Amino acid sequence: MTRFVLTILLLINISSCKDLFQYSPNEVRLEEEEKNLNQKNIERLQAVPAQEQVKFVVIGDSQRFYDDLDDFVTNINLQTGISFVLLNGDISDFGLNKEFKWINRILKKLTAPYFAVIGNHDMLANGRLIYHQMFGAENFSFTYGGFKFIGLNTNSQETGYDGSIPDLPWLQQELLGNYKQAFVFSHVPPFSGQFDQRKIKDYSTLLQKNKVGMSIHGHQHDYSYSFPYADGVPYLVVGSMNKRSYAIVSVNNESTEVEEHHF
Amino acid sequence: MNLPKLKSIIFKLFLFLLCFITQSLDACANDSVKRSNLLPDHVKLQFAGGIGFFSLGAGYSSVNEKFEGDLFYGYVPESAGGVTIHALSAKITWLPVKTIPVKGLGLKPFTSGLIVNYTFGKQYFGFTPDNYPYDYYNHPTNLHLGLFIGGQLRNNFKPEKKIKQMALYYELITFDTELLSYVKNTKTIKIHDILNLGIGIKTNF
Repeated sequence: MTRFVLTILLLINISSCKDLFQYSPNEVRLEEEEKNLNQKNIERLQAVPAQEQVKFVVIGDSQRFYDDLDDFVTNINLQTGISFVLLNGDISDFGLNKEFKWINRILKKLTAPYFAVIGNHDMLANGRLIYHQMFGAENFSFTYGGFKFIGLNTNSQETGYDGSIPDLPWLQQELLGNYKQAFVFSHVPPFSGQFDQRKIKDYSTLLQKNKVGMSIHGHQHDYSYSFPYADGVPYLVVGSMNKRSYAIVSVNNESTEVEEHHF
Repeated sequence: MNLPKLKSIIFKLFLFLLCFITQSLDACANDSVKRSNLLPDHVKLQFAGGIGFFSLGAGYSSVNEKFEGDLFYGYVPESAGGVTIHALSAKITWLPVKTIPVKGLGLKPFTSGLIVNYTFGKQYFGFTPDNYPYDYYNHPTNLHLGLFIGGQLRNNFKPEKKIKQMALYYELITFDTELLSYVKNTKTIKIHDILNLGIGIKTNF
């Protein structure tokens, strides 16, 4: 009996300090609660009936800006009517297990559901694998309040511009179907050098020809809102977390509004 | 703090220490170098501590026994680390404090040192590859620099025995990327977040 109790105590002790044992900076070790977060948050979001106006927050490039991200979470939790928060890539700085875990430890304090898109930094070392386990597929979509939200990997540079990123046939397929308006989220904007230059025209045309309300990005580290292809499709770039700003997009049947907020 | 610069300084320091140890080894060796002098003084078997699930190392002690230099091969099975990892680590341990006798054992209450951890695999790079703009990521992903503090508890055997000494050691190691995250984010990153525990056995021949 004593031996049994001791074994149990030992096991509890080992599991509570297992974070203390790291086998490699490049290891891929997540807890069950840290896995498949995009899908879990889609379910959380869709469990709440949508208002006529859907209001969502976009942030970019959390990388090594943990304290700033924490201040952002505090700020956003004080606001009401936020449907969800989207982190637009470069979750981590060097695709490391600990970096992903630390960012999620802060993000999970958000009262609103949250999603993350993959950034170029998240594709370093084993980052891509960690992203798959923690958030899910690199290209994903969900609908809410009749609007369609699409997450896309546009980090073409990371695979040497081999034509696989961004997956435009997949995007084209996603843009078919019935929805009021679509929003496409990706880390690298098409006007950045890290986007496959041969795909810029196809990307912008695809958005223009479908009901895409906005193309939303990060990567540039500075906020901008522009119409680079003069085709009526706005391109929003959110600043990195250390710039201490975020964008709120409010969309209803009549209009779409974007506001940059500082904290 | 400029990370690549810091890294290069620490790396140079590491090389200097390595030279220092090798020099003192040369000094103690006779003209007729015996084969046994070239064999490692000790082997180490370590659990965790950032350099492998299990790592096997061999190395030398300096003449004044203030330094130990080791080379480790570390292995992480997929079941433990999510991916299979093979790594090579060079470790310099500094043992500045005299051995304190404790119940017939010898305690080295404070050790400190540096580790250069190299991970094998095509998904890691040293210098940002050619398909990127020059030095795009300014940090290697196959090399991680570690700093540690620790301690050793030694048990000496009779000199005529084949195994001269066995020691149990622990190390609390942090890697450069982790230390930098801590320094810049003291509100959200706690010291225990960046400390990684390693436990090992050293056997001297």
